[in-house]
Amino acid sequence: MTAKAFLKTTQMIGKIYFREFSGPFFSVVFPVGMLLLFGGIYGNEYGAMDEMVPALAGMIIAVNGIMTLPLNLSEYMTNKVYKRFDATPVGKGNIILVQILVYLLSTFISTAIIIVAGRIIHDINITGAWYVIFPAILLSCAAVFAMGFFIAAVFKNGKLAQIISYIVYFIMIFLSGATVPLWLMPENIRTLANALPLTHIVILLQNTFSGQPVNEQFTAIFILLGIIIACGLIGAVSYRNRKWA
Amino acid sequence: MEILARVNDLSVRYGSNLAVNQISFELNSGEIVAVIGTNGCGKTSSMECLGGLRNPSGGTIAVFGKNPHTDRKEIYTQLGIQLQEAAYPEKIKVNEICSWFSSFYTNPADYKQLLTQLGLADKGKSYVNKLSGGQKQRLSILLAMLARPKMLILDELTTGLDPVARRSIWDVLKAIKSEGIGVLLVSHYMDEVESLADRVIFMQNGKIFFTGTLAEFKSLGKPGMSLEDIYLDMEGLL
Repeated sequence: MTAKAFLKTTQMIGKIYFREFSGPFFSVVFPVGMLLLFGGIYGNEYGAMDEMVPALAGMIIAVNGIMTLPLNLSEYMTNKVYKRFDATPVGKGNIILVQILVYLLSTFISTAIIIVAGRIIHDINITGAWYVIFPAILLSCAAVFAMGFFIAAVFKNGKLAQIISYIVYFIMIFLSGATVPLWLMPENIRTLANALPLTHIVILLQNTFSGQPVNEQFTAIFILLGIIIACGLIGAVSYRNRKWA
Repeated sequence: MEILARVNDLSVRYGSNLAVNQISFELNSGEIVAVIGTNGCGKTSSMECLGGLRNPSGGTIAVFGKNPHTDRKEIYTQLGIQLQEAAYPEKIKVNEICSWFSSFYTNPADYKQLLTQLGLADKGKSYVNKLSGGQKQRLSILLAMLARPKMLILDELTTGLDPVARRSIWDVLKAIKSEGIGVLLVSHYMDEVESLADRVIFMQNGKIFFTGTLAEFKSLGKPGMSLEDIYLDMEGLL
C-alpha cells in the first residue's frame, strides 16, 4: 500500500469510527461519566480514583478490542465489504490492518482523556513511570485486540460473532474490576474474575500506574502474552482458511 | 485489437459440484462480451476467477498476461470490477468513497468528472447507503473506472433497476466501449445483450454451450424470434 493510500485509508476509517455511536460513546463519554459518578460518590481522599482511572483505561481497551473491533470486522466480512477492497490494488489485509491501527489510536486517545480528566477532576496520583505504563497499556491492547480478532475470525457467522463479543465484553467489564472494584465483590465472584483476561489487565494497569515493581507483574504479563499467542495464532489460521469469495 | 484476458479450460469445483467445467474464451480490447445463462450456471464463479477473487480448481487464466490470483494487486491497476455481491462501508459519503478509492491508484481518473458523466454530481455529499439502486450501480461503475481500466468486469450490473436507470447505464457502457475498454458483461436481460454486446458466451451447467458474435447467436433462432425467445429456446424453456 502506498503512503497516499495508507493516509487516506486511515483518515476514512477514522471518520467512519467517529460516525458510529457505540465506539466513541463507550470509549470516551461512558468512562468519563463513570469517573464523575464514582468520583462523586467516593471522592479521591483515600485514592479510590487513583485505582479507578487505570481500571477505566482497561474498560476503554475492552470497548475497542472486544466490542468495536470484532463487530466491525465481522460486519465487513458478512456484508462482503472486504471482498470489494480485494478487487483493488490495496486488498482486504491492508484495510484490516488500518482498522486495527485506528482502533488502537482511538484507545490511546481515550485513555489519555480519562487520565487527564482524572487529574483535572480528582487530582489523581500517578507514581509509575511512563516508560512502564505505556508498554503495559500496549501489552493490554495487544491481548484484547488479539481476542477481538480471534472472535471475528473464528465465528464465521457475523451475528454469532456479535453475540459472542457482547457476552464476553459485558461479563468482563462487570466482573473484572474495570467498573466495580474487585474488593466489593464476594469471594466466589473474585475467583471467577481471576479467570477473565481483563482482570489481569486491570491489575497490571493499576499496579503500573501506582508504581509497583515490574517484577511483581509477571503473572499478568505471562497471561497476556499467552492470550496474544493463542488468540493471534488461531485467529490468523481461521482468517487464512476463511472463504472470502 | 489487443487480447486482454485469456481463459483456458477453467474449472471451478465446490466439493462434489463442478460449477465451471473446462471453459475457454478470450476478451479483446474495445469489445463487450455478454456472458449469459441461468442462475447457477457458473457465470459469477468464472468472473470471480478472472478477477483473482477465487482460486480455480483447474485450467489457466491470464489477465494482461498475468495470473489474476497471484498477481491480483498488479492487475487491479488496470482492471475495474463490479461485483454482484459486494457492499461499501456504512456511514460514508459518495465524495469520500470516491476520493478514498482514488488514493489506491497512481494516476486515477478525475472522480468529479466521472460523477458528472454518470449523473451523480449532486449526490457527492449523500451517504452511499441512502442512494437509490440505480445510483448505487452507477457509483459501482465509477469506482471501477477510477483505475482508468483497460478491462471491466460487470456482474449483473443492471439487475433490479428500472428501465430508465438501465438505459442510462447502457449509454455509459457504450461510451466506455468507445474508449477501447474491453468489457465482460454478465446479464440476464436479452434487450441489454442485444443493445450492447459484440459477442455472446452462453453458459449452461458450467459449460460454454455457445460462443460467437451477436449475429451468430441470433441466427440460431427461427426468423422473427426475439433474442429472449432464442435464449429461452436454447434453455429448453420455450
